[in-house]
Amino acid sequence: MTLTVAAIIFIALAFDFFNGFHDAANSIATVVSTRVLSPQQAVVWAAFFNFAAFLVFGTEVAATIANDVVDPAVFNNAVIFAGLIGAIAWDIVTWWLGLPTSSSHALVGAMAGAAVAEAGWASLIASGFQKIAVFIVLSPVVGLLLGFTFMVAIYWLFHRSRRMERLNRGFRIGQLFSAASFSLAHGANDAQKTMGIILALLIANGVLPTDAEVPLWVVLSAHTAIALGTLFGGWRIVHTMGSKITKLQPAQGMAAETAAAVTIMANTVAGIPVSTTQTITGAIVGVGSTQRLSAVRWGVAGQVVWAWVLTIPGAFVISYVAYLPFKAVA
Amino acid sequence: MNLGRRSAFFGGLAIVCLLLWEPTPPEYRWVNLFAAALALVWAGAAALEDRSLGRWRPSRRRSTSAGGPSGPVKRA
Repeated sequence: MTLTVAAIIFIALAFDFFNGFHDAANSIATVVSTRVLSPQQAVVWAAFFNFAAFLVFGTEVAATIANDVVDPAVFNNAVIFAGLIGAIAWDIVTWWLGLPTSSSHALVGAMAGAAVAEAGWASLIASGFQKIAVFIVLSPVVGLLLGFTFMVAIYWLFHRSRRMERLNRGFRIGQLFSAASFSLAHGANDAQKTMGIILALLIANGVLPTDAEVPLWVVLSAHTAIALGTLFGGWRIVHTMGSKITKLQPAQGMAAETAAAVTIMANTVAGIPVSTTQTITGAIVGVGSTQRLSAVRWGVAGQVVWAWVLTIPGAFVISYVAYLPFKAVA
Repeated sequence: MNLGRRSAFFGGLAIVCLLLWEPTPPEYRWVNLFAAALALVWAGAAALEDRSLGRWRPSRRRSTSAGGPSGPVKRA
């Protein structure tokens, strides 16, 4: 392994760290906004389960990122480097603006931008992009519907209970588990995207054969990076997710996190890279809609949607431009 | 029929899921079906709820004008 490859792996892990910094805050937003855990406790809780995810899930999403988005033959050090720069730059800009955009889609858009700059539009794999594009919409919709369904089920099951204090205590404990499940799902889906990039890099440099599985050291380092990113978390986004979209009670937080966790876990098993941000936002909107539609602050939700729409093109343009100097030198 | 906001919202979600049927890879199309069916169930439930609330409100107004749900107020 050359020094260049090692440096790009370091940058990929830095992206994973920023992913944790930027996205993983979603794991703790509801548990903090319902005051089940303090922000510090929640961050440690989420980081632990981000890391532990490697024990539960495979590497299907990593394989999708490495093989199904961009023609693997196009990957070289410069393309991967420019792609990572584009994704990190987009993440930093949107973090600075306090917008909960998707690091996953930033990575997909950025890799596509660098690949198109290198080898034209034919370097993109249409079927892989189609799958990701469809689930950009479907995963938050499914999260919303499941969030609504779980919340209605909770109302049906407990509406006769008069011991509200005891019931709330039960939901607060339940929210610890739902937050853990969501962090597990988040760690699994998001860390695998970085694994996919590192796998593509190692294959492109001949360190691994083309049909190689993700090595264990890559799995462990990706999960460590995302867990550390969560530990250093982005509180601006916690604030947006936890209190601006809709106000949450412990039962609502539990329903939203469970709905999002189920949706992301199903996508992870199917090998589909989805946005944890989009999915938890959809679930929070679904839970908020059980009160009444006006309980959801649609202005903030709309702002989030615009950030989603702009993410892939925005990251695409940044990485395309970042790749141009390499092309000029070549 | 006066469609409530919530039933229209869920109906719209069902339409979105069905519109995505064609671009969705065949092995994942069950997700579209599942989501559309769930959205339609909630659209129907919301419509029923709106209808039942619509029936309930006028009778409450009548009973209020007659002195509240427990019947006419007795005058001293």
